[in-house]
Amino acid sequence: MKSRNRIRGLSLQVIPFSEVKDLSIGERVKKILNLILGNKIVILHGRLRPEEEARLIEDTMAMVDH
Amino acid sequence: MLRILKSFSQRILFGIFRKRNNIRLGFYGPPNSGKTSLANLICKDWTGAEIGSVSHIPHETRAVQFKEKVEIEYKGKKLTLKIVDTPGIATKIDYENFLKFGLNKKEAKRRAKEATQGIIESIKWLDDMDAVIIVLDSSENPYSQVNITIIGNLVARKIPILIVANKIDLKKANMKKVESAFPEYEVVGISARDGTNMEEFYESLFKLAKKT
Repeated sequence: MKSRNRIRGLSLQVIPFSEVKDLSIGERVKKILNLILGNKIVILHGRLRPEEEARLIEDTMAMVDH
Repeated sequence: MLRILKSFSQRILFGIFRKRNNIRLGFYGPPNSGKTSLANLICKDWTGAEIGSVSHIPHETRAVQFKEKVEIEYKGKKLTLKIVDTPGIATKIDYENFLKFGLNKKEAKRRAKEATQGIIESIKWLDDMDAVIIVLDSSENPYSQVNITIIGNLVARKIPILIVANKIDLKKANMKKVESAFPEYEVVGISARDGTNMEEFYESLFKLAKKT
């Protein structure tokens, strides 16, 4: 296995609901994606609404660079 | 008095006419569930022409495709639809998956890039639908994030849905599992490949159109 594929430990970040409850859909999704792009596994307290889930998929696809 | 009654009945008739005609019917679901196969079957039955190409390689449909004025006549009832076939929605796309299907690296990367754009397009089109057929592969696990997200979004937008459990001709098909995953919705089991159970599908389609 090439070294770039090696997992060198996991980094988890817990986001309490209080930290996202006043954010708009865009800001909430941006916050989650920024953490994920920093190679963190995000654990979000509470859950996203269906519109936010769709926006998360949409923004992820827009950011993917193949 | 007569004029008022006439105008009232015309409005009612217009309301019914408007509601039952040119319904924008979306086909949504995960990749490779048979959305285009089902849309093709309907379009070929009623217009003589197909809507798009199908393939065993996932993400064959990578742009929204339409068929306007598809007139369906079934048991004396008529329905005019604008059929909107959408690219499959996925949470993950990896070009390496396409290599297994014999595509070269360049083709696989291009397909993956187009597929991501297709997913964005599908989600954007959600707001423009009057009713949606959710096409699922009955041989796959129905409890997926994508299925739950699609249905959740349609419910939040108050868009009526019909769930189609496709590929019931496969040995692995488990129609009961699909029904138990979404107990509050009508589920119709069909095979778009050989046309099994399309009568029940059309019955359900007319019921769905009434909800718009």
